[in-house]
Amino acid sequence: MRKRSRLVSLLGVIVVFVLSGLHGVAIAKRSDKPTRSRPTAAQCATNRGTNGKLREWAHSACKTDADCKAGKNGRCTQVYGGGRLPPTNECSYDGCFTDKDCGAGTACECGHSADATTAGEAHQCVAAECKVDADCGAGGFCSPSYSLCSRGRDVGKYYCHTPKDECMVDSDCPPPSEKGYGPTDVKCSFSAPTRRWVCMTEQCPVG
Amino acid sequence: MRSLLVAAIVLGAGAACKAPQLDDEARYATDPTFRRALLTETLLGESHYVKVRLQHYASGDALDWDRHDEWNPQRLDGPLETLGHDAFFRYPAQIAPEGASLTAIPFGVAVEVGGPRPLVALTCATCHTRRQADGSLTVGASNRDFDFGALLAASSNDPEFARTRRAWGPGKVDVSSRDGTEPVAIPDLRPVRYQTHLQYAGAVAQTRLVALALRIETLIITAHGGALRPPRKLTLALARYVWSLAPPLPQSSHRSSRGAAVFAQYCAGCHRGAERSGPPVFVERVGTDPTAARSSWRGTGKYRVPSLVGVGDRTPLLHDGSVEDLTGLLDPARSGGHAFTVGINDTDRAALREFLDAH
Repeated sequence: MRKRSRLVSLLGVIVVFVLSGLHGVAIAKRSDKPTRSRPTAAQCATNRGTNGKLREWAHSACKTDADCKAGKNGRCTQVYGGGRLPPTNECSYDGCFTDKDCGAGTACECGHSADATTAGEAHQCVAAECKVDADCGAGGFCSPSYSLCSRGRDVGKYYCHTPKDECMVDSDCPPPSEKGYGPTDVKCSFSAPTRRWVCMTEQCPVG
Repeated sequence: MRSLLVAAIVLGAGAACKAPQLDDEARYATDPTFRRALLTETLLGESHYVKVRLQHYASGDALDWDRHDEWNPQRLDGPLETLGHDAFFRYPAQIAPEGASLTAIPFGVAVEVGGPRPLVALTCATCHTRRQADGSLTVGASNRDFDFGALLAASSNDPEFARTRRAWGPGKVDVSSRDGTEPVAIPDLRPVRYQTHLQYAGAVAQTRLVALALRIETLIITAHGGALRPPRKLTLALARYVWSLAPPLPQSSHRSSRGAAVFAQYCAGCHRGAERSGPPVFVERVGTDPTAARSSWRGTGKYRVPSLVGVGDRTPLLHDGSVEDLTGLLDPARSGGHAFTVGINDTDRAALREFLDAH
């Protein structure tokens, strides 16, 4: 009985040892640099293509670029609402061309499409804890992280990478499980509470 | 801390040379195998919501949420009896959208995490506590004044994202779909104790108190992108606290009234027993908007049956908040589904209303 008791105690110690080493994600090898960073300050294009004349959806603010005069490089753009919301046309304007156009704690995120035949995304000032890689120290990187339940281009904020980071790029993160539960989007994103870049699943409204 | 807790239990078991008899709450706090079993016991259907949790919670997966360190920046602690209230009003359940100020977040908190500025965060109370006109608080009630969609829209540089979120309006939020097109009413937490199932589509069976604790834990984990987890003592305390918000069960003396007879005829088929709740019902039978029930994100094809205990004090009603209150629900001219009482006469309607208002 005493031998068995010792054995169980020893197993307990082993369990504790194993569990204590399991925090965090096991990344085989973290990439050396992120996919996107800011080696130099933003210098966004001043020319912007046009979407031409758009179908006139209900509740639209514009039909052509000529209707968009409230800002710089105004373009009439079709906006999808998703679900049961019908599309609508809204004006989009460039909010900046360089970081200097943006206020403290923000940086200019360049938009526009490479395709000059469309208006593309507007340049916008976005929140930023850094504006160029040098703000993050020697050899550092300043990269965009995605915002709450965001899609596509939507950038939440620029943050510095840190030595504590779990990942640099999305591909550093483990692939979806092979257990058949279905795909889960995993992105290398900045976790504001823990102040480091980690492999994150979805981040949607609490509920 | 978790490891030490497990160590104490395992070593204690070794000394006694037999497995300790732990209750649900202790096993939830210390045993990942129990938590995994609890998860699989309570998740229903094959929606995205279910798959994500099966994949990442106590699964051994490379992104296993169970292995994260606890995050408790407010250092909330104390007896379970008081910790639940504290956590409800002070634990950062979700970081607020970029640019949102504390003044825009009811019952929000500022959290120091070492960044250039404190993080602004939502608490449970942000969505689930209503400030009445006289200044008093109704804890657990849905906060119909809180417009989370507007905050999200203001934080985004994506016009489509902004448009869908603005469309939610105050008191509604889409907690399921990625494109924000499935908003539902912020639920009233007061009747949760009496629910057999959680969430509007009933994707989680509330088999016991720890099922709610686990639900709250995964809710907070996913709100933070799976990057951290709350202390389990805290989620247990929150579950207990939410259960404590329940109104008292009805007295048996009401059951012989005319209203009780009307209730038995028209309502009790679904709203059963003293709790006046029951298993979920197929959306075709309910007849309300099917979006949430059929959602691939979290749908089950059904809607849960809300407890009617205290329903006279609840607003809005139905999953989409499409009915203002009990008066609206019993309005014979109303359309939009859940039409089970539409055909009853005025006398019976008044009796039913009196019956439901009484408890």
